[in-house]
Amino acid sequence: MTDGEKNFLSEFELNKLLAAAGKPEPLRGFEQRMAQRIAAAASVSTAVGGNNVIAFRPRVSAPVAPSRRLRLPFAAAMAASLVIGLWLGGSGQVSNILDQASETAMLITNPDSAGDSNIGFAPAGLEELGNADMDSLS
Amino acid sequence: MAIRTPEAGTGPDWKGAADDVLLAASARHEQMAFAELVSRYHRDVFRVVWRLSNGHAEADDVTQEAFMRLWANPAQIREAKALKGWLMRVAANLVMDRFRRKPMEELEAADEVADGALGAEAHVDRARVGKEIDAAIASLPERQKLALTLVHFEQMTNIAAAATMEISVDALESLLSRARRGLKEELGERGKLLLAALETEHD
Repeated sequence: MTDGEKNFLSEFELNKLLAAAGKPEPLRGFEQRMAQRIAAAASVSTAVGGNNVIAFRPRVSAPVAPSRRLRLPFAAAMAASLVIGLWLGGSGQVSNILDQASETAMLITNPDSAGDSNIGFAPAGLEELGNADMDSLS
Repeated sequence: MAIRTPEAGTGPDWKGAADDVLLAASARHEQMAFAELVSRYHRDVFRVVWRLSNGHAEADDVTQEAFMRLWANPAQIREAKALKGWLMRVAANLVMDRFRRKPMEELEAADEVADGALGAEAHVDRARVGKEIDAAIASLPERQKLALTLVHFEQMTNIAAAATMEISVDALESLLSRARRGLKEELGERGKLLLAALETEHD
């Protein structure tokens, strides 16, 4: 313990001094002033909505998506398309149309295949193999 | 048998009501019930505010503000036994927020007593000793001052004070220890003189 610390207060002495510290009291009329303030706050909250808690605003519903509004017309169009498809398929018209269309498509993509122009064709090299001299191979 | 709760406007009925009943009634905007809570706790809150603000003239207003925070939403107090600690914490935060922005007023006693005149006077009354102690406490850092105030002046347990300050008990004890050491250093040799003056007055 240093010389300076010897002059410091002990814990017991400090407690005695702390007991002598000020004991403040609120100014007279505190409760009345508080009551007036509460009454003023209550009257404001009553005017706002009778509550001292601010209420959340209800959420605004999102606008309906355009696709949802078009759902019925779209379904009607799809159904009509299906009915027409079945009717055409049942009467055989669609098959005829498809056959004609496929022949037309073959003519356009390979004009040589219109007749039997591939008769007499053989794989490349077979003619040379048939004429080969077998002796010359020995 | 049905339990009857006090009705609004019948003031005396609220006197014996428990804190949780008063809080519930306050949440229903029962002003008389809230007035009873104010009556019970305003002195405690004021003392803490006064101590933390070094006796500032606005201590009264800050105390009211703490109660206004409670009135705004009494339901935020989950347990009634936590009410006093909650009020203390809110009040302490309000003091720190308000007076951090502007300097605190000096205590009149600090200048009067700390100018070395103490030793020259044959008699120092208890009130002046009290002001000298107040001035020494005012010189402590905020958190040390709050810890000392809650435990020493408000007689809170270390656990309750730590909960109020939202710190661990070890941290609170550290603050208390530093506060007491700081007071001893601040008072220095004057502390012995003040003590002697007190004992002389007792005699």
